[in-house]
Amino acid sequence: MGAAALYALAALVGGAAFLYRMPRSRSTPQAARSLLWLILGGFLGANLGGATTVISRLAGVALPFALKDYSILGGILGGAIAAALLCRHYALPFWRTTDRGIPALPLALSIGRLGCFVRGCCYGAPADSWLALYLPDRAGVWLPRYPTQLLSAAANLTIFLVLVAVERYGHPREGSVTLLFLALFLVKRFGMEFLRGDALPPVLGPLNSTHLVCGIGLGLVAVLWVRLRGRGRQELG
Amino acid sequence: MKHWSLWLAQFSRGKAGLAFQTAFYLLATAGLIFALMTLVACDCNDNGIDDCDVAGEARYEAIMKSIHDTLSPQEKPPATPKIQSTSLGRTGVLTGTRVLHGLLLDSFDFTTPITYTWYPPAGASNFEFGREPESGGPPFVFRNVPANNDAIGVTFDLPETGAYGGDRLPELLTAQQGTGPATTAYFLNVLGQAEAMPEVTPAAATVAGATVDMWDVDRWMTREGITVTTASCQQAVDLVQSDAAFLAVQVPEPPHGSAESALLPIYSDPVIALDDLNGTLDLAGQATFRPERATFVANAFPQEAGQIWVPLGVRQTPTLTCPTTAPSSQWEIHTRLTLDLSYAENLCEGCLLDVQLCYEGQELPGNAAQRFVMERAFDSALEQLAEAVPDVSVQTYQDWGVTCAGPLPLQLISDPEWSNWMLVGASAQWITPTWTITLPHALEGGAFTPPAGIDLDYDAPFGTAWHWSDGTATITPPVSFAGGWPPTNVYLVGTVPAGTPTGLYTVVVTATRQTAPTDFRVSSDMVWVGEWSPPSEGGALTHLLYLPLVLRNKAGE
Repeated sequence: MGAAALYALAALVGGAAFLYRMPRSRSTPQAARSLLWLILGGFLGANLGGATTVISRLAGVALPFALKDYSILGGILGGAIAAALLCRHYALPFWRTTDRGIPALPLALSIGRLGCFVRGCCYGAPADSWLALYLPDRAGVWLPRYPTQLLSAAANLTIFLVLVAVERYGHPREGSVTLLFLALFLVKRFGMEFLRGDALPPVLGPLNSTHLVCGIGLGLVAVLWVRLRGRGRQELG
Repeated sequence: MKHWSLWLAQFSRGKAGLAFQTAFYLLATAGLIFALMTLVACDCNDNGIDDCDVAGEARYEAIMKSIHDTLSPQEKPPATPKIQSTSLGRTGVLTGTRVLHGLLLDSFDFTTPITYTWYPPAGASNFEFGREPESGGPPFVFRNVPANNDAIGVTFDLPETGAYGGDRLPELLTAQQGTGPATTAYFLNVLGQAEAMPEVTPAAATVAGATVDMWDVDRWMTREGITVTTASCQQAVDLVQSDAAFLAVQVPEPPHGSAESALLPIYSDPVIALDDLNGTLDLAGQATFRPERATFVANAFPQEAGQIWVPLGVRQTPTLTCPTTAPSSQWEIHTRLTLDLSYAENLCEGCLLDVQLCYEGQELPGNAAQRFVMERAFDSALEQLAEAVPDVSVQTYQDWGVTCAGPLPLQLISDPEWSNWMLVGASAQWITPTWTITLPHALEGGAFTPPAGIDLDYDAPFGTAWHWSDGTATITPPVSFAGGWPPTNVYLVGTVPAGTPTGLYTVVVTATRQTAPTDFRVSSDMVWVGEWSPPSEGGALTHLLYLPLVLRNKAGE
């Protein structure tokens, strides 16, 4: 219950930040209503791994590697699709809109990770390190572990501050803030996976499916970055 | 009515109305998150794991249901073999003596021919047979033996001394009728004694073919966080199926006449299964007797009067193959054993049977110089441990080239309805010195009004500052336990100090009811201290599995 309350607080703070950053107009309630769709999209996306696993078992087709039942990466994908559909529906420019709204996401995630901490999920691997704290996993096994939830919360808060600073002082091009968020978040998630106690087994050297998804995501961000730069030059030309 | 709806429409279009709508949607978003996460995080069975976390629940179930024993009526096999010793032409003690044994059936009320497999005592020689076996051997195989009571005479010389000084030389005879269950007779020759196998009278008499209550003993050992890939899974399975790994269980000596064999109380093939909790790995191997280890277990392990050790391993055919589908990091070993202890007092209810887990190999990792130093330290530490805690340790049997962990207690408590109170939780852990280690156990089942006081004790041959915790705070036993559900979790927490010798340790946990009947429950954990390294096989084996549960990739990779 405490964890769910923290997740709700994360949504409330993130949602308020999102609305605060949107231009005030008569369509503000529309933007607030969009939050519901974004959350639903994110929730569906977050369960993509679990759904894929269930479908593969029902179909009797083995997946080449294991997927997490719930994943924030899937959540971001689902949220992005919902955002694209909403922008199309309301005839809004996608990149400009997401640039406005995206910094609220790491702020919400930094609070949300505290919910994970309370809930005991997303726990760290046992560690003999100065970073380690005496923490349980989901089965209640207490060991010195990397406090991955707290590290994630701190990293998300840092990403939020970086995005705000870049937006204010960096004169970013259209789409840059969104892509910067995605790049920073994927790098953070890639690194954090090495510290996680619930990490999936490796499928390629030391890398597991989460690492691979992060890698693919970073590749996509690079492609989008190049395409947006190219489009910016054309417009300038 | 109309006036009211107009006012609402005007309000919603006004500044306050817009703010109200915004706040409503914002709160609805937070409420949606709260509802979704409460739904996802529902924990109706109060075990600390989301009910929707199927893998987590399965893992928890597997950890908690690590013990389940039941007594159920089953038919004893009709074809039961017997080894009969005769003192014909023999005088004095059994040392370098020529002996005559008869191989026969204890009961013969059937017609299908029998196949005998006779495992003579280690070191026996100059065999003569009353009926010629198949070529090859030992073991010697006699096929199509008529189902009558005519004994096959076997004559042989016992050795002057047993291997590595062991003077107890077991001899086994397996009988199988068609494809029916194999049954095994056990005869012990003891060098230096005039007669072996003095008569043991049964507490309860049963006959071949009768239906008796037998024990179905299920044990699960779980471990999470250890990655199983297809390759490492195959290495583990290959090792478990090889000659290098085996286990031994000590059972009450079955009844038999003077100078006659005892029928081992394990008939149907036991099962050893390796599976993960996601359902992508499910390998079940048939366990079987390991007659070639009978001499070792009869000599190396502590011998108690009225008890015999039975060596078991995994059958080598068919070869188990690990799947190529996604592996899991959560896995378990499940063993199932059917024991006929119908001859024992009270069916052996409440008995504590000892189990030893063994692998072939004993050298420590590192180069020759490091090994020399470490072996000295290791042996010295083991000696100290043996003095401090003589019943719980890891022993290297250097003459035999075998390392064993144990004794691990196997307590027989019949619990068909899952209603008895239990001390559950058996884990295998791997820890580096200076870490704190937590061994999770739980009291569950039963119903006590008023709540029973359960005293907790442990026997840990390593570590310091051991104490009990309920998961949030230190507790001092006795623990108040009302029984039922949910389980009462208890954690044995300790610190592994720097300098603790690398190796395997077993920790035995005992829970004792303080009020009458002061019955007790026993469970155990296995802990590998230090960076795990495989035992040296001295051969081509490259498996890096430590029985029962620690699995790593190849050294140096």
